[in-house]
Amino acid sequence: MSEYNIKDLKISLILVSFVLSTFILAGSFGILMRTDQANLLSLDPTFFYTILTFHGLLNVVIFFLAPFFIARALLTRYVYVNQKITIISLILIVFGAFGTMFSLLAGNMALGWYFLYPIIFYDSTEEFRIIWDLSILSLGFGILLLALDNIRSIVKKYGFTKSLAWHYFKGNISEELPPIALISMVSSIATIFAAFAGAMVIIEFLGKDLLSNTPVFSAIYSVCTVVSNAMFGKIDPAGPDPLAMKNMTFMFGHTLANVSMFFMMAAVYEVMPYYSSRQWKTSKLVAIAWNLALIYVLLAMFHHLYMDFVQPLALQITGQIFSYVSPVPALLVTIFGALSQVYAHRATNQSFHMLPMYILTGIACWMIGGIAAIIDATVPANFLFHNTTWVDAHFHTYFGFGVSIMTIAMTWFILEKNFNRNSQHKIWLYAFIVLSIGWILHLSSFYLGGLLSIPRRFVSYIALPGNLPTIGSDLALISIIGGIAIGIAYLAIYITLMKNIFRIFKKG
Amino acid sequence: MDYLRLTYFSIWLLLAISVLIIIFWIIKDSKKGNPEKLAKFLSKNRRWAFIAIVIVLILSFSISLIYYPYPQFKPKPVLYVSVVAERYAWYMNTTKIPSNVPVAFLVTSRDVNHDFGIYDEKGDLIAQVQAMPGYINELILTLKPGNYSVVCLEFCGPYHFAMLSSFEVIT
Ligand code: HEM
Ligand SMILES: [Cu+2]
Ligand SMILES: [Cu+2]
Repeated sequence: MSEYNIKDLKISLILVSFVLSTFILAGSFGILMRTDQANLLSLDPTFFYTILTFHGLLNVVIFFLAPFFIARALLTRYVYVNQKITIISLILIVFGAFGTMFSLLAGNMALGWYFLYPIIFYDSTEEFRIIWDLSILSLGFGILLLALDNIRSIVKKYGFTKSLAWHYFKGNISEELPPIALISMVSSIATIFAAFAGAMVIIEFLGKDLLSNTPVFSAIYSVCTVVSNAMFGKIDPAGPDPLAMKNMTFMFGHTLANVSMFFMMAAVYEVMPYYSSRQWKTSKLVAIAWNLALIYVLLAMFHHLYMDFVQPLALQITGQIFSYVSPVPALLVTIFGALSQVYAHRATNQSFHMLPMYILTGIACWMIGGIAAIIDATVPANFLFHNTTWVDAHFHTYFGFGVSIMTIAMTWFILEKNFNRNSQHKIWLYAFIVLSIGWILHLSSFYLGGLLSIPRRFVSYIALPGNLPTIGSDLALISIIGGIAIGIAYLAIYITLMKNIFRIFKKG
Repeated sequence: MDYLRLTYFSIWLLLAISVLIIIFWIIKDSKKGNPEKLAKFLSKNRRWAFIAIVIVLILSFSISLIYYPYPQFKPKPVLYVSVVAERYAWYMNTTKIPSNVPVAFLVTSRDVNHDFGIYDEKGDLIAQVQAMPGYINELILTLKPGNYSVVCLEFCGPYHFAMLSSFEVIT
């Protein structure tokens, strides 16, 4: 019936249910923030920033996890993944996610999603901070385990160099490597870097609180501090260095955000051929593109520190060069490939299935958000756009809209093709239209905000110079309308998917 | 509005519209199209697309270097202004700054990360630099006469949005 391991698919459905449910809360917080920015409400600033942190951090985490788990489940067509590890990780992750939610909300932790050192020591109390630290570590550990097991299971079947498709470079394609294995490999390696950078940051946070109490921990802490400081040019064991910490933080945050789209692409390579009736295999170009992706995803992160003028100029230029390199393989190989797949689906089938349309939309979001990101990764543009709502605009495009709509598509694929759930309802068309209109309104408000110098993360625009107060609140108003449309469409999709998932588990 | 900002925005808008046109073309053309032909077309033109993109990227990169805001790319300042950020205020050693000469803002923080964002009277963000504890960032600007607002552009705590100040540039 299914070429994939049914139990692994079911685990991914559990994770997806958690993701889709969490988004209801996190997304509502998004609308609430816009309502406040439109001056229709006046939220307490601490509460505003707490829900901002909740919204940002939880959304980033869940929309990383969804493609990660889905790609892993689809990988079972080719390799044996360790199911025990998947379950243990799932528990660690859900536990960590609830701990994060609890500590943020109960502890009024207002950090911003990437919690730049040392802000956590100003706006949280020690108990909640420690719960938060441990929750993030639990999440990170679960993710690390899965990434390691992805690599283990792929390498076990294909061998290390062949898992990275290096044999394709020499034109040797006698031993085929499915694209989902190659991309999962690349993404998992990048994930490990992200997990280590993140863990280092959190351990340094924990260290500052627990240093006096625990000698063992203080040793780990010192090692982390020295290593992370030294990596960014500061030999100073005295304590975390803010610039080194910022570099580490973005090595974590930037990588995580990008890898989410990578895992999603792994799934897209796997799923599209079912609809296009055309193979989509690894080739020399695909191999080169994804090996390059591993390099540029790690080195482009320096574009987050352009406004730190003390960062060495060489790193700033590195950031811009690798940000510029990124679209070349992505566009010429993956996006060209995906577009031809959708084209083939439509040309060979009389009726147009909405699922490839969702994927096509996700890819368009990747391109449009990516272009905005590359512009912002140009130093002089960053000088004008950094920390305006342009930033919100670009990641809500590829991540907020793109990854989430493809998560929906992939869940739908799993239900339809593997559990024979009939889901050809009109609802997919109507939801798609409402969802797209909603996102276009919501995203326009952020892009225009960037053009008009509206700063991001502002409780209220009232004290800003010029006519920014009215522009800011007007844009927020447009965004609320968009947000409500997104909410309505999303709920319709949510109910449809959850009803089907529920039936599958009821049948056992 | 700053023409550089408008340029960047227009580039984005143009490319975004092109993406949408491609998407619509795919939906429309694929109805009667031939996927083999498209695949051949794409692989035949990949090389040209590659060369075109690389040229555009190298050009944009080179042009962008002219506008780099870092001190290495700026004239020697004739005056230094110290800027210290501390939740939720900006401390500057002077708020009257001469116009039309390069002035260096030496920016740092006493607590968390902030960002020294400078807005002109019309409400355009014209320059910014991070204020990081333990470091001094040097922002060199040549300003026209007028009133400028300082807006914190890095989240620094619950009253981040109210961390505002101003200075005057005089002839
Ligand atoms: C109903 C849909 C959504 C709405 C209405 C919404 C709204 C918002 C708003 C108002 C902000 C704060 C903007 C500011 O800086 O002033 C924000 C930030 C953010 N959103 Fe969303 N959003 C939505 C969906 C998503 C999704 C799906 C993601 C997935 C990744 C996401 C990720 C983020 C992140 C990472 C931030 C930054 C948080 C920070 O600055 O620390 N959002 N969103
Ligand atoms: Cu500040
Ligand atoms: Cu601030």
